[in-house]
Amino acid sequence: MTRIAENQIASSLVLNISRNKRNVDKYGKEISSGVKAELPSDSISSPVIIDLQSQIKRTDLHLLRIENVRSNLVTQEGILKNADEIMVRAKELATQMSNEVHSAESRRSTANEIWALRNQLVDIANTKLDDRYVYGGIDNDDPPFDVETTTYTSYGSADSQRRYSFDNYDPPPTLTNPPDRATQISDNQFVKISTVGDVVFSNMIDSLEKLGRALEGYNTDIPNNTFTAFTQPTDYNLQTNTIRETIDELESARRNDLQPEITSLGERQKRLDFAKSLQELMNSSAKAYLSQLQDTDIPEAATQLSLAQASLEASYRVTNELLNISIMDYI
Amino acid sequence: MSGFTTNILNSTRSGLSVQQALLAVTANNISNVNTEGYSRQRANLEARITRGEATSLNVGQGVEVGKIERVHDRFLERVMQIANSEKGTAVTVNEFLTRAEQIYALTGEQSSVGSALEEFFGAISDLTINPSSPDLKANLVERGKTLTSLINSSYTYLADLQSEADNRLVTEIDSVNELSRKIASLNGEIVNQESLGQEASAQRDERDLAIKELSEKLTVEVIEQSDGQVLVTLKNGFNLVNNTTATKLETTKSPSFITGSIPQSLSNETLNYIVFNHSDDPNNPQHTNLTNVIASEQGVVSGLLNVRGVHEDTDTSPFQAKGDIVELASYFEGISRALLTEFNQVYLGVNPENLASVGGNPLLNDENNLTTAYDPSSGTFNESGLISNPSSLFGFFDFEGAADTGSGSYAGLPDSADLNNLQSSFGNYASRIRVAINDPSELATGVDLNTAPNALNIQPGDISNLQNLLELREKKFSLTIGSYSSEGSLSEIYRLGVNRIGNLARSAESQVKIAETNLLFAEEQHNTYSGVSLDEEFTNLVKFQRAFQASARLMRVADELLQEIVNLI
Repeated sequence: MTRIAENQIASSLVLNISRNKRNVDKYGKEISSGVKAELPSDSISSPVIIDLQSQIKRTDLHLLRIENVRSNLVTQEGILKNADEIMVRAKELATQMSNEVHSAESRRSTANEIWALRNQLVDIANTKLDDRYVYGGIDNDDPPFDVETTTYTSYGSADSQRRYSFDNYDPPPTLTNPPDRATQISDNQFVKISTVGDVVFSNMIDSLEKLGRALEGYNTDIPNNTFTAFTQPTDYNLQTNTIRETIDELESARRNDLQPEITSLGERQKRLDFAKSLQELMNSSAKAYLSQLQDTDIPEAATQLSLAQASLEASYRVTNELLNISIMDYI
Repeated sequence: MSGFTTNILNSTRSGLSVQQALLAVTANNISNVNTEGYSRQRANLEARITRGEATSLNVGQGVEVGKIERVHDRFLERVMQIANSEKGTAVTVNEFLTRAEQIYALTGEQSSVGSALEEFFGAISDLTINPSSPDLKANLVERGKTLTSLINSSYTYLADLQSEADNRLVTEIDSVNELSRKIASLNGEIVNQESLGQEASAQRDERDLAIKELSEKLTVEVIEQSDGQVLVTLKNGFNLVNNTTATKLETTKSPSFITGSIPQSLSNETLNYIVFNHSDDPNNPQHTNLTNVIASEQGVVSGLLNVRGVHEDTDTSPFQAKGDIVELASYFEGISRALLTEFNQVYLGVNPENLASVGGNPLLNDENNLTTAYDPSSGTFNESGLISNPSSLFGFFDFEGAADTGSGSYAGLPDSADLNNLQSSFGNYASRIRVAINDPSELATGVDLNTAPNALNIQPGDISNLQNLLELREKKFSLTIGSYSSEGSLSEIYRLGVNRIGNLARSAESQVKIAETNLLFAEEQHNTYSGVSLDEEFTNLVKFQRAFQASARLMRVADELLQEIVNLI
């Protein structure tokens, strides 16, 4: 016959009460915090939980940056469409003025409109967003197009004498092909924010300046900065030919520099859309999986809590019953 | 006839007296029902034997108490001691690991090194939007400071836990010595009392209780000798108690068996060794190292040692100690060293892989080889290629005290070998790492576009340097810190730490449950045999009371018989 000692009953009861209480505490905490894994020992998936949290944080930041870049690209698209309109208007004027019905004087007065277009294009090329020059490339704290200290000539109007050129990098880099401005949109993907102004605007500005100077009466060799003045009426035909040449240059600059950049903007926006949908997918799937791993399954936890409470109550009752029964009551 | 009457009277008297003794034993058992370590007593009764010349009819001489003995089983006691040792280890390890786990929060509400690493690289990514933005630069520097601050505090938290375990070791060894003295003293009392023929039950119970408490601290072997004394030894045979002599264990930070430098703790102090000093000369102690023997067994002291870490005699680094806390701290140290070396080298524009191919030290001989950007305001390269201001040449991160390393302490950009060499001065870098850049405008986001010496050309929109740094987010590092190795990206190394503490803490919790159950089972077995059962005692009480009443009635019958005889006269 097995003997049952008094302390044996008591210590067994105390251990069972403490285990049941621990369970009540565990499930109570899970329900009140909404989280079933607060510390690494709570789940064997704790490294995965941390990985998913990192992924969510990273994708959140990528999504914010994508929106930032998108806003920048949309603004640029508007800017470049304005530039396109300027080039279309300049080509119209050049086409009109190439017609020999216009006198040299009439051409000279049209030059003013070309200078206005040129200045407008320079303003566009020197656009600032977030206090940075969009087309400055990596040197975005200086305007990309400055007035050259060496003017074309001292002849002609003030606008005609003023010469704009791409003035990046101070001091000039010794490396060729310095990088474009770019930003990160996913873990291993960068997207170009803007192209260096030299690539997009230099030829357009040069062709406008050549046209303006031709209309004013100078045959200018840009960029060599040499010129000859047309002597009227002898050089009227020569002036006409020069104006016609600039029509090709205007069209070439628009087609080869501006249009590809506008197309590239569209492509970059598509990349952003793709990156965004991918990041959103990764973000939502990570959140769903994280919730599965970390969030409390309330019905499950509530059931477990009820069971634990019932066990605790039962152990209290048993303790009370067992410790209250004594042989002394029957002696 | 009168002979029988006398016989009846004598038997009855012995019955009365014995039942009283039995009632006294029962009363003593009932009184001690809640006394810890008490073993119930039992009176062994023996029928009195008639001595000398036998009468024609020998009906016996009544009853007597042969012996009052404690009901005790040495084997069950041993099982309980083993279970107690295991529980001691499990509870201690669980306590420290549960506390260590607090720095690895899985919820987003509490910052951790893992989330800070993510935010730091996120800030580098954000800076790519506008690399010249003072706000974004300041944000990156601040995120860097948050990261280093969390590495500092997480590491220091673990180092403090190690110190606490080490301090508690001293207290526990004092308790061990106190218990050893008590056991030795009780050995003396037991042998004295039992040599007089009296069972020293109370002293034996007290000694068993002391041995039980001792076994919670250490794994001990207990051998009872024929005279009742016990010999208490460690597993390797080292005598803790030999008859009435207790051997005093000591804790020391200057053990005589280490002749070279003593390895430091995580907090650059020295850990205690458990030793026996067998020299009487206080100025020339001769220590026997018992640390490893005790650590390899069970008990609170072993638990503390295994959590805190134990050094081999030849160790030189705090991270060579074998212990859970040291292992966890090694992950933070590894991350710190990777930031101080490879991250900085990339930040300064040096391809770390080139370091090896050019002998590990050539880059500063020719500044042209440095292709980037960062020109520390206070740091310079001198002509010989040695560093005139070491702290400033770490790059983005440096560490407290780096400026004190002195000119020429190392050549070239600091690498892991340099950090190992400097370790004797600094012990660890995880508690010292910090961001070297105080002025965010100094932050180099691009590369130096001018490769000519002493000529910097950093463009404000250039993110090349940031791109290079972002590649480090996924770069796999292979780190060996003392006895611990890890491989993976910085985040993965942090996750390895999380995985490790998760497994350790879960295992410790299971061990506590197992140990509690084992101890309960052992105690149940022990109590089943030696514990007081009130049911049994009260049943006995009634039984002994009835026997006493019967003896008393018999006495009256004998008296009546005598009266009848007297009346016949």
